[in-house]
Amino acid sequence: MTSFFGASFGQSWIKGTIKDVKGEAIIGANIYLEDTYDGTSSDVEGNFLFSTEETGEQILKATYLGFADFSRAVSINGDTLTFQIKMKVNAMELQDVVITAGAFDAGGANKQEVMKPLDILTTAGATGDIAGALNTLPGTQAVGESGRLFVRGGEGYETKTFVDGMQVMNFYSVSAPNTPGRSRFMPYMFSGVSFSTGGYSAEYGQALSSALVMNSKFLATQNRMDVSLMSVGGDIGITRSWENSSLAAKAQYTNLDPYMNVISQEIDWIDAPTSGEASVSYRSKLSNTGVLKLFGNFNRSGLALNRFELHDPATNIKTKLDNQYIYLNGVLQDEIGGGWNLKAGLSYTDTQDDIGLNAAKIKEDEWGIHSKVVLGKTLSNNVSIRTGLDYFNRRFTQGYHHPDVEADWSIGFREEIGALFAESDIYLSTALLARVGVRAEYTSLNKQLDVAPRLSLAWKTAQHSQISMAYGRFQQAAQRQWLALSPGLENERADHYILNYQINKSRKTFRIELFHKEYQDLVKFSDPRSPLGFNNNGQGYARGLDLFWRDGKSLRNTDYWVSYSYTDTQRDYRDYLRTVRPSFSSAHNFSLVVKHFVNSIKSQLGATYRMASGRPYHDPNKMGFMTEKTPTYHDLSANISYLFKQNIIIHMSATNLLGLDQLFGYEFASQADDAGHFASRAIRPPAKRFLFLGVFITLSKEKVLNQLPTL
Amino acid sequence: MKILDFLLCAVFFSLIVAATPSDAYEKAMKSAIEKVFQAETMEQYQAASNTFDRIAEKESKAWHPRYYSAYAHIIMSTLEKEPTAKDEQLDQAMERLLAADELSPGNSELLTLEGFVHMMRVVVDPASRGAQYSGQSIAAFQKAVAMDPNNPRALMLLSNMQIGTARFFGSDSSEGCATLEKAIKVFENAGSPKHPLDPTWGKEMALGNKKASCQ
Repeated sequence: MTSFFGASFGQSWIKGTIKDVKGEAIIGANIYLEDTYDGTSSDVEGNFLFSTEETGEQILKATYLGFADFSRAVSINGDTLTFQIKMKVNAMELQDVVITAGAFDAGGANKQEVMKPLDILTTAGATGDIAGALNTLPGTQAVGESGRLFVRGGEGYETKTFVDGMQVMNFYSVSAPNTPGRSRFMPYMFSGVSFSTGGYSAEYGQALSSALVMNSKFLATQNRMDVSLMSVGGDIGITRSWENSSLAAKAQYTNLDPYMNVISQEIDWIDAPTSGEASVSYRSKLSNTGVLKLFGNFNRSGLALNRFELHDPATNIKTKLDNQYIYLNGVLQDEIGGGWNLKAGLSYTDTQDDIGLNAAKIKEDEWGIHSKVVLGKTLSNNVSIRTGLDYFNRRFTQGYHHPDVEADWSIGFREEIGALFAESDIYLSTALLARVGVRAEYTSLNKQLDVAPRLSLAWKTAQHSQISMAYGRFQQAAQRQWLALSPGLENERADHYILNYQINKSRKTFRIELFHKEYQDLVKFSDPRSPLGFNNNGQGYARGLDLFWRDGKSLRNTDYWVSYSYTDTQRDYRDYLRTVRPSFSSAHNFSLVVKHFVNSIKSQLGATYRMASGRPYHDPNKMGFMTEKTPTYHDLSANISYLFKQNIIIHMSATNLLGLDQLFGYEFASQADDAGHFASRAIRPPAKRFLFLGVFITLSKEKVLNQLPTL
Repeated sequence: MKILDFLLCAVFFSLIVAATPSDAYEKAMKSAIEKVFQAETMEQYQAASNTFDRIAEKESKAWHPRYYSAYAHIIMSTLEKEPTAKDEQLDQAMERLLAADELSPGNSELLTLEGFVHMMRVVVDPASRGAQYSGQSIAAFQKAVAMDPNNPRALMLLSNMQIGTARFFGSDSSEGCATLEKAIKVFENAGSPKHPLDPTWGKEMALGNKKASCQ
């Protein structure tokens, strides 16, 4: 009986208040004695009170999301104990402030995301192309004859693509001269896309201007089959899902011949672009924390057309292009104990181009591997570190063969790059985050060791707004065609300075960004075919302003964004005679993207308007260098996705609805005619409009599934 | 005196029983379960989920406290206003469900709540998430029904999605209503649960849905 009374009267009370460092009450914190049920939650004033029948040495704990766990040894003896608990913020977990300078994030855990992966798929004018959709964001340039991402006065090659952290070489499919190539992978593969227009993490190298970092989806959760019938071809995809793994395979065939026959083209096609592609991805959950991703993409494509030399329209050059592409990517991620997180990856790219110019054949072969190991750890509530190793090995060969003329030649190089990087996120307070990083890179061809510092700061100025800034040095090996001729070329370099302000509140975003970029050691030459005369004396700058406004709330069922970029840039590179605005750059770029869902017709309507002021070009018939300017570019594109049935979507899209003349520039004859005149040819889209019609069917046990997320 | 003897014996036995951990566990759980289903405000749900979290920390092998804590967080997501706060609550719920899943793999009730989390993700932003998460949530409910054809909560939530989808496409919602009818029948014929802490909630919600959508 004593035990009965002892227990009953041995009740002790524990009370107190719980506050954060600023003295604000924490509401709903969990306060308890470890390894017992005894405890309570704090009230609106941060007060707490609970009783326990435990006695002796115990541990009092307090927990609340976003704060570091509190624990303290206490001795319980039947008296009432009072505690004033101060909780320290766990800034790492809270992630109240994130670095936004230069970065556009879609998906993922970032609270400051401005785009969603689905947005990429439904942007009119992009026809499902990743680069096409990102080209509606500020910082990009409309370069209609290329289709690539030209970022802030940078050329297309200055943007590098990474899938799950691993480099993708030759990200764009082949296309006829002066027609746009498409991004190789379908957007539906990715759960998160981060498009950086500058100042990016030390983890990424070999990109002068921009890093496009895409994270692939993890486990597929449903068995399904997808069939698409398109005006340009068709595809079939099968997904199998098991308890801890999934496999998805897709085969696609596209042939533009029928389309090109119906819609007249500027190009004299022999064979319009044809492509066969297969991709496989395997995902496995190895353990609670372990993740394995394997991905393979195989593509064969080809085209053939007739061209003539500008100085002699009587010539006919039968141009044939065949491309074979293999991309493999494997990533393993797990916790390895001691709080360390390990990520190891390997990617392999192999591209072969066979180019036929009448009887002459040019063969280009590039393969490369990228391997990477990254270790990360959260050191405290305020500090985390990441460090890693990168190794690139690539080989490029280019050979020329003519059956009748003894003029065969072959050039090429093999390059290895090793890099070591380290980066730390430091929360100086919950509202102030610094990211400090450094990347050291050694390039085998020119025996150069570069050390590139990277620094970003983000400061949360109010509940929904923040200021970020970034500085970084970036380098990139010279382009392959120049290295093949002159393997000792130095790396090109750029320094970025970025200042960004962003407000993000309930599906409305406004951001403004100022940037300045200094280019050094750009490749220059006097003749692109002669190994003599190559040097790194080029330089340049780009500076300007980006504006972005997105509102998905004010108008019912409507989401729209507006981008504007002003770019002031000049450079002296390649065979430029002096420092001028380069031919790919326009001073003003504007985009408006609108998406509207109409419930009554179960359709999403989309429209995109793009404008770019004129681009300079050089006319050898005129005095001076790069004195001419193209007219302003306008494009209005539209699309419609109609949910015909739960599992059937019909999608239609058209570019350049108004049929405006879109002139990207001119190409000129390499030699003058007898009258001393250089003949020219306008560079325009091969047809005024591109029309697309597709029917997307999904077969699964769950009848409501459809391919909307994949459109 | 006999009555007093009896009472003393009863007290004595109840003390012995109370001293065995499983009963203390059950008692604490039952009281917390009662509170979570009486809760109305954010604070009350938070307090209830805190209680389950405390119990879960001590009972490292029990899936029930994690299940109910997740349930509380799902309801809390509906009380939050900002989308990011809603998502945070759903993240919290998912974290607990994944932990519970490790302790009790192939549990139809846990899978039902996982589907519920996906369903609430759709609610946060239907336009951009509908396609992805409604598929995931239906798949989870269907799997949960396959594991236990008489799980009325899985049936009821599945019917929710079926009716919602039919409505969106302007088609007939008889399939969803049939599923709902089946759920209600199971609720009405439900005996006492296999384990005293097993979930029993959902009947009122099912009847409410029927009134709103199938009559």
